[in-house]
Amino acid sequence: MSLWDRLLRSRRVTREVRDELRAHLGERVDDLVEDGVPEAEAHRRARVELGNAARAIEDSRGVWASRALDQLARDLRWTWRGLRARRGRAVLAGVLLALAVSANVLVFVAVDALVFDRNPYPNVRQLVTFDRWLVAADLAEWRRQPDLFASVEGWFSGTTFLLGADRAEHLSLVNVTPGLFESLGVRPSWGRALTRDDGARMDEQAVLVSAALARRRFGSPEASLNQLIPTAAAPLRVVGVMPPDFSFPSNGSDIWRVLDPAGPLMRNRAGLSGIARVQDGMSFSTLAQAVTQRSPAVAAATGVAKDIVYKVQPYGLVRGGRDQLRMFYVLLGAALCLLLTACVNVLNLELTVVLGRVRTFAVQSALGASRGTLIRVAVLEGLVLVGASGLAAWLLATLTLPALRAALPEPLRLSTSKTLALDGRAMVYMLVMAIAIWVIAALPPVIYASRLDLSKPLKIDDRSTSPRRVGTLVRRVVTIAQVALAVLLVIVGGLYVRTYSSLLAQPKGFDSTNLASVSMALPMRFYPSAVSRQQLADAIVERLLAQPGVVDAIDGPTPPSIGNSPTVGVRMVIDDQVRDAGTGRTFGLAVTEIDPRYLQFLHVPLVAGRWLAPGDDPTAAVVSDRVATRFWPSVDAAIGGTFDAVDQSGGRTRMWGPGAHRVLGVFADYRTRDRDGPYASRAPWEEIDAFVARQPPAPPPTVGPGELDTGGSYGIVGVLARLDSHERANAVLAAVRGIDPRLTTSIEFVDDVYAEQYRTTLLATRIVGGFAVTSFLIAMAGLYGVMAFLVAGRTREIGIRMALGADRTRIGRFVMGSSLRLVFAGAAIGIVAAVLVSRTIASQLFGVTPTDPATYVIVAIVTIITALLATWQPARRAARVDPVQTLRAE
Amino acid sequence: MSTSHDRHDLFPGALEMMILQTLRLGPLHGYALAQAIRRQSDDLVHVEEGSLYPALQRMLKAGWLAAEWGTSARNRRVRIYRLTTTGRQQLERKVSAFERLLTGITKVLRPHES
Repeated sequence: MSLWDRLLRSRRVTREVRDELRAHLGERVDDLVEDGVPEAEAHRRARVELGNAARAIEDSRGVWASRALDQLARDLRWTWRGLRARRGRAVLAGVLLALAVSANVLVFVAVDALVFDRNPYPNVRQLVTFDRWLVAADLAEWRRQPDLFASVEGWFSGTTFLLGADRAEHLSLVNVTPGLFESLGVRPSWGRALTRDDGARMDEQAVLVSAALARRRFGSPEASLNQLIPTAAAPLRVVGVMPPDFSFPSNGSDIWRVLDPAGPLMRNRAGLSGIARVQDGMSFSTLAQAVTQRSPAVAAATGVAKDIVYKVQPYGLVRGGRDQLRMFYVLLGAALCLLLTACVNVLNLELTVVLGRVRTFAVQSALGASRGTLIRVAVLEGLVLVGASGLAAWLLATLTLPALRAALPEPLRLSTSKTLALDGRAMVYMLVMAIAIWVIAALPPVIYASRLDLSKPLKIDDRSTSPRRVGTLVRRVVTIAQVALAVLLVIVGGLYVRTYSSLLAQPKGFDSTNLASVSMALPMRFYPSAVSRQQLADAIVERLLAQPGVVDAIDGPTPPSIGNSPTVGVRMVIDDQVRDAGTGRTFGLAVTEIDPRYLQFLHVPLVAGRWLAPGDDPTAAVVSDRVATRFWPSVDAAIGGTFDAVDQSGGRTRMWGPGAHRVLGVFADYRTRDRDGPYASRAPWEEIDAFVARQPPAPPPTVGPGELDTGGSYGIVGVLARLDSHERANAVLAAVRGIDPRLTTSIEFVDDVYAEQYRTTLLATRIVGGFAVTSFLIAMAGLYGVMAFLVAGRTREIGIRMALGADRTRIGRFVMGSSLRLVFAGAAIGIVAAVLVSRTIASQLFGVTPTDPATYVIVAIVTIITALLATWQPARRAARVDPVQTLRAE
Repeated sequence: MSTSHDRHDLFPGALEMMILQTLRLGPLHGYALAQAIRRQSDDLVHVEEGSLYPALQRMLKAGWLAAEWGTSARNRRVRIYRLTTTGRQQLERKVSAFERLLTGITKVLRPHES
């Protein structure tokens, strides 16, 4: 029987026995009256005979209710009274804890998904990936080693254009071998799995879709089954919907299609990513050894290549953005600091409550409440408080999780196969944290209450009793700890803010004011030739120029992109001399055809020579001053120089271009990628960029018979436009969309594109900054509380001092002084801690050293000023104490 | 009135036994039960109502009795108790145990008669 039922039963028994006793009394009175007893006397006698009715009721209820239960009910009643008596303070404590706990849960969820990256597949430890691309023969050969692998599968990612009623959706489409999902141990939640036969039909392709896509497009997973989705190529038939939390190979995959490794989809592809499930009981090291040993035989058997060494890696280890993930440790630390601040603050509040209740305790104890009862009530109060704030925290975390998801930088979001969710692990984490909070914040007052000498407060009303003094000491220590934690957090937050602003303030080297990039992703099928794509770009430029608010527009790459990817691993040939990049490095040469006006459009300054002009042939190039001075003694010396690239053996590697290029002009280098930021990608090659004038598009390529376009091949036409204000963006986008509504059109400002590179830093800055501000406010509120409490507790002492001649200024200064002592101690500890901690985040900083004096000094000054403000009111109250009144009250 | 009789303290379990025995004759409400016990004992046993109702609750809880609300002869809303099968068995056990005890006590009190 539940506790609630039992409590209800107790009430019912009371009511029923009371009714019965009333009936009993009535019957007896009637009997007596019938016997001739006068009515008043009959009533009296009946009552006397009945005896103590209240006792009978109590005993009857006692039959049903256990003793423990009664006790619990009473304890709960007292707990409720205790919490209600605290009013604002209980609410404040709950809110503080809820804030801190939800912050922790959110950060934990992010860390859990991104850093620990637990994969949702069963027995994920048995999954390995191959570190090179595999072809059909590789898969077949490794499948012939059943002592090693239970299954060997492959996949590659592509894209597709889903055509809708209004506009196209450009989505990722993953091609998987038929057994891959079975190997992962995952099945569709709706519909059926993919089979080998699904790969045979190319006019209509069977696909599995994500639950999110099914909902978005068809309303529900059930409704999506057997639906046909038109694409830019063959339509897709939905045969199944994957579980909502499923992702492979990363978040953001929405469609999966069967792939025959020897089939037409593999045409023009170098190979597949391989994934295999290891046989039961085989350790990874044994497997790795066996794979290396068998490599030569397998390579020979494939007949494709010899001397290949295959390597396997545990699944999930090959991922980018590792160093970005380190940031999350900082977030975790910051969240814990915030939680600690909140905890000690609540401890502070709880101590005040206990101190304020010494007399209440004493009275209750004198009335017969045992020490056990008092302790039980104190424990219950703590549990209720922590429990309620835990619930609130969970709610808060649920509400803010979508915002966190949205704030995650793309590379981080894609680096995990798990979506951020408040799952069982987050729940366990929160419970552990709640217990910790209870131990830190709620247990000390309980211990304190249990050791209280309850007889004393009733004998004399002495404000300087020892428990009070102990309480004050504890509260001072707690205040110092709060200030220290807050100062530490604010310094770290400050370092992140400085980092982010330094990153944004880096000169770009071109004018990015109101510069927007308008791009259209287009299926190659719609615009199969270079000519048609160029015509589209020209049409966009024309449409843009006709728009009000568009200052200028040009067909060209959006910085930081320079257009072409570099041909990497080359040696440069400068004025017929072969040059190496230096030990262990190579060059990467990118030559991009641009509109000759492009660099002028960006307002990039010319340093030497001349700009490109229409009609220049592709041998004429302009390079940046960085490239010029890398190879020639001066920018002027570079003019007329020639450059080309050869591979490591000296042969020509470039499939494009007319041969060597001649330097026509040198422009001031502009920032094409994040070279210096904390998460800058450090390529193993040295990038050399050059621009040549755009040539008329080549005639349409002849499409060979049997060429398969599955709707995935696409191009992006991007056009730059300089607007007169940011507000024009939507109108401009709408105008361009009208050119071809089937395409996915987007607009973004170049400044935002650059800022996007620093989104990880921005996320850290926002989160750490938010935590820092919160914890600072909590600490200052705590300081105010302690000072107000000290002043209130010392009114008598202050009164005596005044009576003995101390003036008001001195009293005020005395209060300020004792507050500042706490703050100085806290700030000193916080600063030392910050010096120690900031060293570990040095790699995440930019444009600021971990011990940046300005940041430290500013934080110290702000802390002291805020502390003075927080103490001002208590100090004034102390100075206003009227000695006559205080002493009269004695 | 109670002063006109010798009050007898009941030994533990006696009240329950008398209630069970009285209810064996038919269902009764609390007051009627008290009156019946008093009449049958020729006013020697006077059940104090204060102990009657908790005892009834104990027996309800043990499952010896069942109760339902009804009306008395004077049309008052009362709770009427009746014996359950378990209660009947309990009564037989109690009575035989009591009779053995009584025989024993009697033998001790009047040794010459045995």
